[in-house]
Amino acid sequence: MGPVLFRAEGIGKSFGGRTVLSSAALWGEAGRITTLLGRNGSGKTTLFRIACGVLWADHGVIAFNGEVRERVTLARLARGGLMYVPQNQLLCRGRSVRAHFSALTSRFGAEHLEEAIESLRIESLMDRRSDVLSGGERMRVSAALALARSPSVLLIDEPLVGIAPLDQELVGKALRTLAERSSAVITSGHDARALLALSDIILWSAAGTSHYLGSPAEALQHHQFRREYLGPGDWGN
Amino acid sequence: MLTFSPPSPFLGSIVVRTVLVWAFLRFMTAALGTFAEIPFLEGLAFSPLRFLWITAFVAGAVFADLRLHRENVFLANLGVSLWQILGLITLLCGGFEFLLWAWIRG
Repeated sequence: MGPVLFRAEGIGKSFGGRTVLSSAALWGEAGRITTLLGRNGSGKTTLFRIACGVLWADHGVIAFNGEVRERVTLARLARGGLMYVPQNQLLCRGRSVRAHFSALTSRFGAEHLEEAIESLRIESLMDRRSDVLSGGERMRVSAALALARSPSVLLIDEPLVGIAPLDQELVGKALRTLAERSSAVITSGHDARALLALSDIILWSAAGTSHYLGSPAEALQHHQFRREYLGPGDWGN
Repeated sequence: MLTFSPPSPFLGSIVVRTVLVWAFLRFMTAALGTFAEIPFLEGLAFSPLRFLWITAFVAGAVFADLRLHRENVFLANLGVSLWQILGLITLLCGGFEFLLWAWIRG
């Protein structure tokens, strides 16, 4: 187990009287990929948005860089080394891919820039506007930005949803590279097979809370998780 | 200027958005004032109350446009907070008011 770099605890959030999260938690360990799995509407994205300061919780705390706060902003967390990639929403409409990298490297340096562009195979996309890219290309560019930024904590929401297997492989490799650089990578999604293969730690979001299931192999042994989330398919063991 | 201020292309587009919305509002309020028999140049004169509501309106419009273009999350990932953007917009609106005041005084 690596040191915990980021933790959101006791998170609760209601929208118009409907409780989405009652007491959820999310955390990231250095050098590990942690994945939050759960059904649609189970509050995964809400928990991610709260954890990165885009949305404020009704209750709960965020612990990062030795500070524990009830309310944080993404800008503050980002200055401390966190990066948030929303599902296909990181890139700005109307701006070129190159403009995104220029902005990022002007702020955080270009140490990992070439490696990021090469490993995600986005050289040919650099002068294209982000709004003409396909979903898979947008996610590859987002993953390349994360790789170039090399944050201490990366929160990336549903990185493998709706993209081709080859793109999934490239994005997955980028996330593994970040973990190997001792970043805490926290992700979510529905593509259970790909995410179980990619992750080190599995959390399950259900009934307004999140459950620690351990390694992917341990998660596959969890009867309730298999019955209520994975279903009766062939899951290997 | 500001630590973690927006990088230049983003800064430029915030300035352009601010100029356009501010100029439109200042011109429109002065033009509408003529219906109440307030001379056009008098309608352009500085008023603290008008400065406050125009700055608030400009900030609202710029934030909405940043959101529409998904620039808010990207800028936040660069460490740029909404407060810093609000500070920049207020500074710009104040600067434009000063230039307008200087121009009117001739």
